Amino acid sequence: MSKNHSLTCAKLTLFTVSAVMIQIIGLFLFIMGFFPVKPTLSGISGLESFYPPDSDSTDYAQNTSTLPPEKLKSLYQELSGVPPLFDRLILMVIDGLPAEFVLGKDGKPPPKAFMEAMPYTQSLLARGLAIGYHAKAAPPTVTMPRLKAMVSGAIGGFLDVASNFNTQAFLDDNLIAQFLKIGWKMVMLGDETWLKLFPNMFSRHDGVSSFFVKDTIQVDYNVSRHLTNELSSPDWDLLILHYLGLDHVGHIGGRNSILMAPKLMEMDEVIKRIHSSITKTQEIYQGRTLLMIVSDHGMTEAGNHGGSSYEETDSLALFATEQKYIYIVHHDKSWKKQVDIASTLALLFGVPIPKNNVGTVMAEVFASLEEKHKIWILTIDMLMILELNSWQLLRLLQTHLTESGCGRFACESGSGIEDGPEKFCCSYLDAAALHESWKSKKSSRSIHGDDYRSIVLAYHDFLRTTSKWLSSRSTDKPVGLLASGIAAMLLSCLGLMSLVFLFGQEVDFKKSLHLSHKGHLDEIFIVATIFVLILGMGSSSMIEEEQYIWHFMTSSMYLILLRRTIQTITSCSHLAYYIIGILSLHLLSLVLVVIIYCIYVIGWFQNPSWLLHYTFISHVQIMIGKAFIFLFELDYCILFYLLFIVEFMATSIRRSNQLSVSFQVYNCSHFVLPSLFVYQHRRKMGLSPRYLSTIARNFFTILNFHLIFSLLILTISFSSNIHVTSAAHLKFLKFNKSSKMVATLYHAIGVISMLGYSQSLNTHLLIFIYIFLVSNPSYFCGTDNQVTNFIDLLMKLTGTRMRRGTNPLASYIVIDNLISCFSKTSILGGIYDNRKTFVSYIIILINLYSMTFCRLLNNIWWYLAYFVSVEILNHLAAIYCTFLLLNYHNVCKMYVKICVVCENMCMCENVYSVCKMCVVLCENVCSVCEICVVCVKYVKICVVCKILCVKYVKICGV
Amino acid sequence: MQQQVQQSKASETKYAAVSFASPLKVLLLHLTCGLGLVSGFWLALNYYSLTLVDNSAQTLGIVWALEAAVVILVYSLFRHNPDQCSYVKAIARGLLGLPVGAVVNALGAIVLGAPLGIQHFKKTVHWSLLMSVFTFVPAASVFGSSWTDWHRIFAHTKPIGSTDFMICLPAHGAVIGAWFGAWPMPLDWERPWQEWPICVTYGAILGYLVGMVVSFGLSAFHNRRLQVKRD
Repeated sequence: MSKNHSLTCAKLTLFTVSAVMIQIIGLFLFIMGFFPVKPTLSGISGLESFYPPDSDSTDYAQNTSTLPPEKLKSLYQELSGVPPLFDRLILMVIDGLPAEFVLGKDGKPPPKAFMEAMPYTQSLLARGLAIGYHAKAAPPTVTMPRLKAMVSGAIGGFLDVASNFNTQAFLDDNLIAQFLKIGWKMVMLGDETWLKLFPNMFSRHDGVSSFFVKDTIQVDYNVSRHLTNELSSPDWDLLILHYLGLDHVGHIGGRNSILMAPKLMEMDEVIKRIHSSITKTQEIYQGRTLLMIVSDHGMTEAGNHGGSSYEETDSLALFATEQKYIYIVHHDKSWKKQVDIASTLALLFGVPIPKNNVGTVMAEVFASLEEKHKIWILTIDMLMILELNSWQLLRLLQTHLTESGCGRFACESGSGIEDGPEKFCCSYLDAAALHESWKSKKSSRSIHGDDYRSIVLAYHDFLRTTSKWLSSRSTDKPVGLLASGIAAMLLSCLGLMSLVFLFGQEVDFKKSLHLSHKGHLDEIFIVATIFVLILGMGSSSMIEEEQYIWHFMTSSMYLILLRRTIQTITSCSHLAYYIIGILSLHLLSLVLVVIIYCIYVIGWFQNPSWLLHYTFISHVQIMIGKAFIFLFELDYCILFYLLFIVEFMATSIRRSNQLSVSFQVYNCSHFVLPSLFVYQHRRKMGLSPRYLSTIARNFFTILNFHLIFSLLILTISFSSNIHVTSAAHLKFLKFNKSSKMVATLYHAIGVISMLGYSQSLNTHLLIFIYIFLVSNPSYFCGTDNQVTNFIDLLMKLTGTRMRRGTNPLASYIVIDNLISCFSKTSILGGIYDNRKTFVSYIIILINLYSMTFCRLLNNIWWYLAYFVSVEILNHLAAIYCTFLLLNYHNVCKMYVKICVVCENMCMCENVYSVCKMCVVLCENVCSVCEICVVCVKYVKICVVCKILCVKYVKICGV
Repeated sequence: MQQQVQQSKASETKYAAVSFASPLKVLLLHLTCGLGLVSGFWLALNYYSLTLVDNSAQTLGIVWALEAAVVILVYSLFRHNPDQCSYVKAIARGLLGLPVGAVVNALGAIVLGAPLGIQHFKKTVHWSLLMSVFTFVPAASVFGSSWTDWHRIFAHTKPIGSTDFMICLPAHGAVIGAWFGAWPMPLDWERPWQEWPICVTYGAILGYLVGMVVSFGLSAFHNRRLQVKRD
């Protein structure tokens, strides 16, 4: 080997530090590209929205802020030419109600059970007193972004960092702010998300939290108990009722839960009360009240939401009044967007449309109102309404135009202008010109003429295309930044890879690789699996269902191992037959145990309610009562530690080090377990969030501290164990052992952390999981070569994947949000979170270093300097990723709270699908890293160490 | 290469008793099995108007019943030691192999994540019976309970001679095809055929057909090489 290729300590440090640096820069660029800041209009629409966009409107803007509310209201009416059709609004939000339950799907009526559960609502629809739409919600289908979309008409990006930094108050132009400006009194009952979004805007409020996800009764009772008072009191103009119960029902039992029909019945009862009171107040106060029933999102079969499937985005928009709507809109035509609600409500109540609205007005609502408004609306207002909406969209469109104003483009029709702002401008100008010419011929204008219809069509055309284009704009990505980010990350991976190759030259992997017989089915399978999983990172549907794929691969691997074990049964001479036969029977039974375990766990997660009633263990637990569950848990803990120690002793490193590491783990448990028990106890006694947060924080601080400390002990002890002069092959074997140790340790800690967050009914699974991890294929393969070790690692990895059942980042965010959600400083939580996302790097590098530690032994300070610098770099990376991901944390928070309380991770899935994009982003780091992993197989351990997480466990009932 | 030739020679002498079916026979057998499969689907569609996507359990039931009859009758003709083992006995072995193979296949499917609920039970049963017809039944008819043969075919995948080919390759083809067929199942495409066990069945049948083609090709090739060697 030439001297140029050999590594000096200085070179080594320089190399890795620069590689990590480049990686961080690449990640930074990637995130910037992935979550670009969209051009939005600041400020709040005022009087200028009643004038065409190109007219000079600076003077109005000044006026609006000084005008008193009543004056402003009348001014709005005067200018718009559209008098408000209603005076009061009751906005009833039913969280998670799919429109299908009320309106049916594809023209078919809803399921019979749901029809019967909502007799009043159905009768409203049938009598034409209500008009309902499927309102397609944009992903992410979780409550807060959906509420924002409904009141502002804008589709927010996943991160609106620029406008909304670490605050939850909604600062963009929205309906609530507009209503406040014209002096409305508003009352809010229900989900406290509204209070966070609009602090100090409601004159009365009673917020309920979605904290107790299992509670489906109290949460709605807390809203309904105020109804009698509020409905009879005349002092409000807007009443918001946000019912969470239905969403909770979905989360507990899915779409077809037995609780669903009673819940719908309850909602129907509420609708009946409100609607009959509307009719009464109509007579008393002579005020017209609109009851608007909306849902923020739908739910999947399993009752989850967050993604973009039909079931999740199918939300409801239902307008109910005491007057009759002329015609019932056909179901196939009743597809609207959720953002349309904002503009429609704004025009119904005569306030300016919010500035960033991309929705189009639901013209049918206006057109189909009965009699006394009818003639009126159809003549002037219809066009006026469309015009107002067009003006507002045109203003928004102008932010995307290179030149100001719309008139400067030469619009030759049919000259092949591409889809873009210019073309929309032209279609607007066409519509406006038609409108003008129609207005000019005063005498002969009629609402039934062809020219009238063509104006309406032209406006609709403009609104539809523009709205579509503007909505799609909020999801594009700048390619340049993404590409440069990925390129930088690839470059750094190449750097790390070359480093590993340099090590490889010294250690001579080839030799050790040749120790094993080549071309076994299982080895080919593993390599193929890794490639498939890396390629799978490219498609969102593969990532979404990643846990299934991992499980599928693991089980396939075990079946292959089973086949291999069967191969050995008779492939030997008669003399040794009995001995080998017994041995392989032992192996066979191990494999079978693992496979049975697979079936058990799969059954548990597939159909929890089914197994809950029939599994022996759960049956016993239910039978003997809660007090004994506590004992069960204690047993599990003890058994777990015994197992851990046994496995740990089996790995051959120096006894004193073993003891020290075991001591660490014991210590850890010593701190963790009592607090866990107290926690369990407290949970039964009743909740104190602050107390919970303290425990969660302690728990993870201690875990993390011990983890780092144990790793340090491991690496140092390992290094002191090896002679400088020992052969390369021996070094290699030692490396394997140390990496195995690290993996074991991480698994142990992972299981401990799971103990803290799993429901007591699921505790028994953990011990199975541990057995599963312990009975790794090194038993089957026997020899201590590199490939065996690799299979071992892969198995452990898949095992952890399986028990988690979801992507690493989702679980990270869940766990770490546990810490951050109760403390005020979400920044710290974020840093912690990202630091753990990057932990894989530390682990790769620690392993690389433990490998070459023999050469660094002469100079331990270099090692320490290296370790510290990498740590610092990781923290740096974490900090600025945190700033970017901060907003996203806010989105997740409420789900995380639910997770804490339920202690099962049934909501992880939701959090996960919200952050699909973030997952792609962060997985990207690791998948790029995995490419270099494939080249140098065993660095795969990095991914093992990414994992410190919990499995989401869905448990119904009980 | 030389080693292989030696090995094959040795194995030829060792398995002299193994019956070598001519390529024509192999072709006829595979054609019959393929026709049985096709006619099963045809029968289900035209007489009972069942499709795999809409009524997977019933369709699978018809298909496996018909295919099992064809496979058992045809493969029993190629039984080992025809002198000691009558045709009826071979058929009985095949019939016995059907439920046993179904249990093994069902277990494998469950390990790989097949749904466990009661509502899927019928489908799983019918699917595993069909898989058993593809994998276990031919081997049971031909080999009976000969452990070495089973071990050679299924654990080591070392088929010798055309009879082994026509058992081993379609069976492996069906299993591998089913494995690949399971891939689209968890994806969020929302297609009706993503349900258990529709796409798995498609995969298995495709793999089975490919296995039969390869089996015929190999036995023809094998036959020619034997003839060349004899010359």
